[in-house]
Amino acid sequence: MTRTGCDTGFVIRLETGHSKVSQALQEAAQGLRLLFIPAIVVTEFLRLHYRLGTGSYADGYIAALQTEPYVQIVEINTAAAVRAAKLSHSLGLPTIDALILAACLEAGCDEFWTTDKQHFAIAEQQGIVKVIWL
Amino acid sequence: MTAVKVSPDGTIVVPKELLEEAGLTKSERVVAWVEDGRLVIATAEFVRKAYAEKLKKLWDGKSLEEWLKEMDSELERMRHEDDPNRL
Repeated sequence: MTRTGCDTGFVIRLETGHSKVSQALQEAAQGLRLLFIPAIVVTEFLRLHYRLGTGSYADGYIAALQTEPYVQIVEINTAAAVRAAKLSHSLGLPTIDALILAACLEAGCDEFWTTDKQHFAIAEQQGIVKVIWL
Repeated sequence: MTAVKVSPDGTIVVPKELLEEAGLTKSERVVAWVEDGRLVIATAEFVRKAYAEKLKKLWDGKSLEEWLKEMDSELERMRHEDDPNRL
């Protein structure tokens, strides 16, 4: 089973029925994937919707998503915090991006789905994680 | 008459009969929230569908690509506000 780490761009696409992400969702429903969503991604996703005026709906969406057996919200624990500091320092990642990636790596993710080439290309180049670009 | 009960620890218990009346099965995944002072319980499926409808209205004739581009830009703007030195 593939352990899929999800950046905020993934969740934005998940809610819209984006084809590549929908395919991943179907695979998850079939037991072929587990989706790991860092708690900090939830923060970004909801904050984005509060700005758009759709916060209360987004709250419900996240709550509904959490009921799915193939979705796990990943807490930022101490191990992830330490790893994030190292990633941020060595790759020059902004803190929030480093925390998101570190949470996924600590959760044992095999791959990381993101739209953010600017910040995560270096992680792929250095062989830290397999990145699936959206 | 079947009534919702509140336990001393603050847990709200909805009797089986009421859930059955609402068409909820034993294995149904539900989401609960407080709205206008009332506790609302809905199936996760219902919440997802209602949310998708709301989003479609927001798109307002835009293509999916245009909408995603806007969302990505807004996300990037939000991150940049947090950290203006973010490259």
